[in-house]
Amino acid sequence: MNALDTNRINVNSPYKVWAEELVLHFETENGIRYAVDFDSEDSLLYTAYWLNLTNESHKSSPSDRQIPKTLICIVEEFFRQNPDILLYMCSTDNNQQAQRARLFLRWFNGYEQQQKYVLRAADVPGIDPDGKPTREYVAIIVPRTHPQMQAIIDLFDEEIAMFQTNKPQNV
Amino acid sequence: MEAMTFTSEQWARHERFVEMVRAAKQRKEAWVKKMQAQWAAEDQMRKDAAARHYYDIEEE
Repeated sequence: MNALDTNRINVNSPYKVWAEELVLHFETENGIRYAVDFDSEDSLLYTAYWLNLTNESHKSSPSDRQIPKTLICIVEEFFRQNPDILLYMCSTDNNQQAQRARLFLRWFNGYEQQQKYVLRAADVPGIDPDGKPTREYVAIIVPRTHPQMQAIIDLFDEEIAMFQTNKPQNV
Repeated sequence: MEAMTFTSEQWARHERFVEMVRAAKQRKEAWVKKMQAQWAAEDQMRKDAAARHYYDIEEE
């Protein structure tokens, strides 16, 4: 993955972003620090990275519009340097993944973002750390300029459709 | 509505997709724990430094 330029991110980012090794950090006006990381996914046909975001301080954050603005600046720089695919999975902490997914969709479904990216999201069956069944919210973001954009979106839609279908015994 | 049918090749790819999501989740959880532990250690150092500073002032 090509490294991101924090100077470029900071031109528009409301919160100052800095890098420590390959992890980006920013701290909000409420003193809450976030970390952002891109984890390479090697098992797809296409080059893809998981976008990881976490509240390092592990403190509850009041609603803060500057957080999504900062994250979007980071994602835009990611796509400037790496014209690939981003995948995102919501944290299942406190079983609030559905709310987090709605928030994430709102962040990335703004008019400006829709002009640049295609976003698909779905909830899929998963297993929580205790081994109990749970729902995972997974999203894919593909730049509209990606040469295989339609094929990637079709593949993602097909995978999601398969979760709704019972696998026959004989396959 | 007609039920969709998929080939065995598509099902095999789907199994890999399910496995990919599970593995990514495990990697993410490990990363989150690492980031939070790192932050907690830095926070403790900041608190210790602040306390030392406070005692230094008191002693003066």
